Amino acid sequence: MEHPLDVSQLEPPEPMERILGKLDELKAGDFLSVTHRREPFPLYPLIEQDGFRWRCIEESPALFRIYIWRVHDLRAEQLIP
Amino acid sequence: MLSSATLSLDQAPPISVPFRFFLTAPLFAALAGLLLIYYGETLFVSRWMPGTLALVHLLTIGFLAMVMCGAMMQMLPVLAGVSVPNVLTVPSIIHLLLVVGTGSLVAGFLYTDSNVFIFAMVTLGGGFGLFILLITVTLLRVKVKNRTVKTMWLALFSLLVTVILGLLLVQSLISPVDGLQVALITNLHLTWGLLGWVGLLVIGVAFQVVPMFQITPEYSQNTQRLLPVALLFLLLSWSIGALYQTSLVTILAELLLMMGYLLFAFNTLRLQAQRKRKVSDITLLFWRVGMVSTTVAAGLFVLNHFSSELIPQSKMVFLMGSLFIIAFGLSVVNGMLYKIVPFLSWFHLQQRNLALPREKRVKLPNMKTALPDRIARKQLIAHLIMLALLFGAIFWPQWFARLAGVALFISSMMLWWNLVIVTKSYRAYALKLRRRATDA
Repeated sequence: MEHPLDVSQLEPPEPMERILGKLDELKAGDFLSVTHRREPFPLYPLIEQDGFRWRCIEESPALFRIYIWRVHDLRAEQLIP
Repeated sequence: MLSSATLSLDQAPPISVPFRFFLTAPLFAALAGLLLIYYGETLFVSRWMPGTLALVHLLTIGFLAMVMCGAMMQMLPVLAGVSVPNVLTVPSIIHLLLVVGTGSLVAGFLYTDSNVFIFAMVTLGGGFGLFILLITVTLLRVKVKNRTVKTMWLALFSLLVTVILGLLLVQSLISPVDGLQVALITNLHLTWGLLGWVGLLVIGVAFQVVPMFQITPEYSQNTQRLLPVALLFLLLSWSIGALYQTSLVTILAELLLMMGYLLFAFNTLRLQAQRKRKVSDITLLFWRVGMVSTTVAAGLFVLNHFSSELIPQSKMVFLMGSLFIIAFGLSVVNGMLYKIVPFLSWFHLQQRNLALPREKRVKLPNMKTALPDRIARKQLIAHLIMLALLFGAIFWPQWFARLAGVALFISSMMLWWNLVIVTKSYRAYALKLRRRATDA
């Protein structure tokens, strides 16, 4: 199931805080779909270390969509656009 | 883009590395304040006074370059997703060379000692050389080539030009260099330093940092694409015009350069006025001071060109220098420190927290609690008083020069102390996390 999260109007480090908070709530088959105004580079190593995978799509120079799901959660991975 | 991250946590230098850049910089600015108290109005006699040169370099290398080098190494991972390698602790060596180099250059100016100048050339040349090399290697590894990264290349090139010209000028102080026009090279050195390195880096960083931290709309794509390249082109044209004494090219290029900076400052102020979140923010206020100063500097320069009796040339030099170095440079960098230092501190703590098993993790404080705005605001007031006294000192040095020195010293020490507060808060939480990690 998709869990949308819009952090595009938040000041750092709130986007990262919100994302990390939401990740704890993900169940099997769930993935997070984050709307951000920039690519959150520092987030990636943190979530990878914590057992997640991600995919980032640049929809426009100030609009990024980041999908995050648990490693080995194939059901969630199949749902990622 | 897909996992995995280009940013590696293991590669990045530990937090003590950037912090030493940020914590030593305000001390150099405070030293500049002490110098102004000691020498007083004599520093406003001419820009060639040894004390004036010492003061300028305490601020430009000791404060501005120190923070900018430290910040560039730390912000590249955030803005471009690539870590600066901590190979052989090069960042720490750069810091040491810049500290010793600034000290010896200033001592060289004050005591006119050839050996000290040679030492300054070796240390500053080495420090900046290593920095340029390290950032070049890092920028080459960047996969995402955004506007900030492209502008950083231009800023880095400007730094290289500034350093080479600076070394040439120090060499001419040790023994006269045949055919070297010192006044011309000095103008080139300071213009590439201020309008190239400082200005372009601020612009490049602003493209991402202003919308990101101040929640404003984005700079237009045209501004981001054209402005930095146009400014560099104008700097080159101006330099060629100056070297070949083609006054038409020089005048046209310098007027357009000023218009370019006017456009940037105006644009930034306009974006800040449109921001969606109306909460007051200390960095925003410092940036506004910087942008208003740039507008005034560029406006005055253009006005003075068409009506040269407006402000006497002897005063104009000090006015432009103070506006660009202190009212623009110091304000913007000072404001950025209030974002970078708490952010880095929060990020490093978060990283250590997530490395713990879930049940051992702690709730980290909000970034803003590390340094409440009301404390930083007092320093902003000290900074504004310093600016007012400084401008007073340009016109009435015997009245205001020493007072401006006192204000510069106080404002810089307040900034230093505020950064120490953040460092202390970081240490307290880092200790807590370490205890958690070792607890059975």
